[in-house]
Amino acid sequence: MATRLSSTKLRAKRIELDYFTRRHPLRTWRVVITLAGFAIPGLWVGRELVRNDQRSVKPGPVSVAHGLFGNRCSACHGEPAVQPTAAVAPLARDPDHPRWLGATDAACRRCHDAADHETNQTEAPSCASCHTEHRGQRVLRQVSAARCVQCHGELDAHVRGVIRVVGSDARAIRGFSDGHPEFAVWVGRGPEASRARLDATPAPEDRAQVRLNHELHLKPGLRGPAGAGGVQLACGDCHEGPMALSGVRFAGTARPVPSPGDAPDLTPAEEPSYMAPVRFVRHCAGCHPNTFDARFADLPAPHDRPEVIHAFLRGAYANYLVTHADELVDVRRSLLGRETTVQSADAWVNDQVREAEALLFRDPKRCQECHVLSWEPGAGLPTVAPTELPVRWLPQSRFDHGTHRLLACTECHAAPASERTEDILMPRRATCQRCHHAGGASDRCSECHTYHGATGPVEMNGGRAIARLLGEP
Amino acid sequence: MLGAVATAFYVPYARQAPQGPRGSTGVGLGFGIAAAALMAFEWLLNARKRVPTWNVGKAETWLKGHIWLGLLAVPLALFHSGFHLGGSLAAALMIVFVVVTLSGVFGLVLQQFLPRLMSVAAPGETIYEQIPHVIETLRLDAYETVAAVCGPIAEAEAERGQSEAIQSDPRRARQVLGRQPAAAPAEGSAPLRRFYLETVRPFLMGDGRHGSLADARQAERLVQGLLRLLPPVLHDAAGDLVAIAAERRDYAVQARLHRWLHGWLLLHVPLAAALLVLLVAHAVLALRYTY
Repeated sequence: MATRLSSTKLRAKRIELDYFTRRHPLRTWRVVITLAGFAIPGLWVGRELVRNDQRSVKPGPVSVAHGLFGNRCSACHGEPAVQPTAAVAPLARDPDHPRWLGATDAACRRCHDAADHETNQTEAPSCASCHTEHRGQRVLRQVSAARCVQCHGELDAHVRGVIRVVGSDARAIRGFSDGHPEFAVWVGRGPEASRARLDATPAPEDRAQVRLNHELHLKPGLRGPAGAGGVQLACGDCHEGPMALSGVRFAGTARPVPSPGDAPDLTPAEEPSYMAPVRFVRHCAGCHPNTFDARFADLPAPHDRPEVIHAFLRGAYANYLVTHADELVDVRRSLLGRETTVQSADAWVNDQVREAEALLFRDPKRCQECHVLSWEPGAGLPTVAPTELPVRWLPQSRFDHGTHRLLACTECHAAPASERTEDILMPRRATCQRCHHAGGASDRCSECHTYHGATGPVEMNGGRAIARLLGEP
Repeated sequence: MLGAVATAFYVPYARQAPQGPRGSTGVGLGFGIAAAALMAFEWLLNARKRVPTWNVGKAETWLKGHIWLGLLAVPLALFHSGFHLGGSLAAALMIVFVVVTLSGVFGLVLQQFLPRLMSVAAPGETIYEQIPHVIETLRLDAYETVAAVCGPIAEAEAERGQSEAIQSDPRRARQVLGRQPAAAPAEGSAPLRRFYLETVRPFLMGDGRHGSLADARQAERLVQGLLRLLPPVLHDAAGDLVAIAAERRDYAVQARLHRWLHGWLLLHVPLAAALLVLLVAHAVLALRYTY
């Protein structure tokens, strides 16, 4: 069988001379699909922009708190419609670029009256440089420590003029476990208040003018309220926390009377996180009743200024005399027989008040058990030194007792070993670092510190309408 | 090496970035611009191929640049995004980019061995776009080979009509076809005729991958059996039919390999077009809403 001749020339003769003038379907389809590749995404993006629906062009979901207007880009991107509120000094560094729609500080300040950090910063970072949106964060307030370290890692280079308050050992903080100094508490009140580190030598002391022995109060078998027998106090019997059970085991029986002599209260913003100040009527009177006379067993003297107590005593005895007028008659027996004297009401009251005040003010087991009393020459009533009990030891930081409620109080506060009022029972930095460190509980700066002003009162009336938040006309 | 340099920039940047690596930071934006520039450069290969006389480097060099710089764009794009997909537009862009890159790598792998395979498996390679026409001529050639021995074959009406048209058209003298059919069937040609109608013609009209002639060894066995039935004078005609069948198989192999070699471009090029559009939209909108 001869093989078929199939030379290149013969093969070439099978080719149509004008084949190159016609496009193969494969090429045609490639062109068509390529044009579709241009058109389809272009139409999609164009449609989103024409409909002003920027959801698809968002770089990511907004934080939970901003979910209310997360699909309305103009809420943050674009020029603000109103000026920032006068509550804060605007530090916005927003140039006037209508073409550009970056989220400006002015846009943030339309809703957030955030106070400035310090007035002597060399530069104030923009809101978005610390609070990065579009990552779906649960809490936008949590800022990376790296942002804080950018300044506090080299504080001298980022401050104009004098660095206030901060000690020389707090100018190169690179993290909670790297460069963070020992905690510094505020001692004293008013213009004499000062800040001292807990590891200072000598150690700072509580200057409160109140005598308290924690070690004594935590012993078993204390004499409790009448009829209670021996009691063993716990921390919560005096220090009520944000989620404490209602009621105090050994509360005083007297009605709580608002008094300026009571310990200053927490601010409303602090109430959810901090222990309530100890109040005499609620926490002390149950075991330390201000009784002054067996005839007034159910009417203890108020926990107030001596003048108020004095007026109270006069009133109490005067009222008592109304139903016990026979007290004015003093019958004495002598060799000469019975001698009856009738005292004037006023004199009787004065005598009773004097005796009661001697008990209350002079007896070391009454007012002077806790308070520092002094008498001016010739003065009848003593002067009680202001207690100056600190409500917050670390006002520049933030702490939530509620989230730490699983711990025993004594893990952080060495109360059982404290016999002196001067002892400051605040935990040291090392105590916190046992849990809060890299790889452990959060050690971000923002866990405890706030950038925007001190942790003081918060204005609860923002003054803005819902329609404004929703972008409604 | 450029990828290593980019990585050396990225690692410390990612560790020290206060809010994590993001596209809007200076370094992140730099990565994004670099990746976008490389993606735009990738399209220049298309322009270079359309203008072969464009004297700006060899096509081979351009292809190498297209491949290597395209691969470099991958880590740059990932560094720009901080390994986050982001919103819908950014996620679509990243997904399209990844598919484009993977399809390109797929095509690159195919191009490493398919051409050589094609030259071995389909030695009778012809112009791909002309394969249907060449097969048409093979069908006609096969008819005329058999008709020259067995006379006109009424069952192959289409081929018969085409052959008669060629014969009557003097302008088509250059064609290899146009042979006259035999006036009467040759003695002993019936098996040949039957072989043509039952085996060869259906195979030539099919896709070249199915039928008893689709496999070379089976075809050889069939032919050996046919030759035993045919007188020696008809063996050449049988041999011609076998050669035509072999040529048809080559074209089937060539077509299939050609589709593999170029079919991935149906995905790669259109998605690259979409990538370009999404890239421009992302860049414009991201910059506009960031600054």
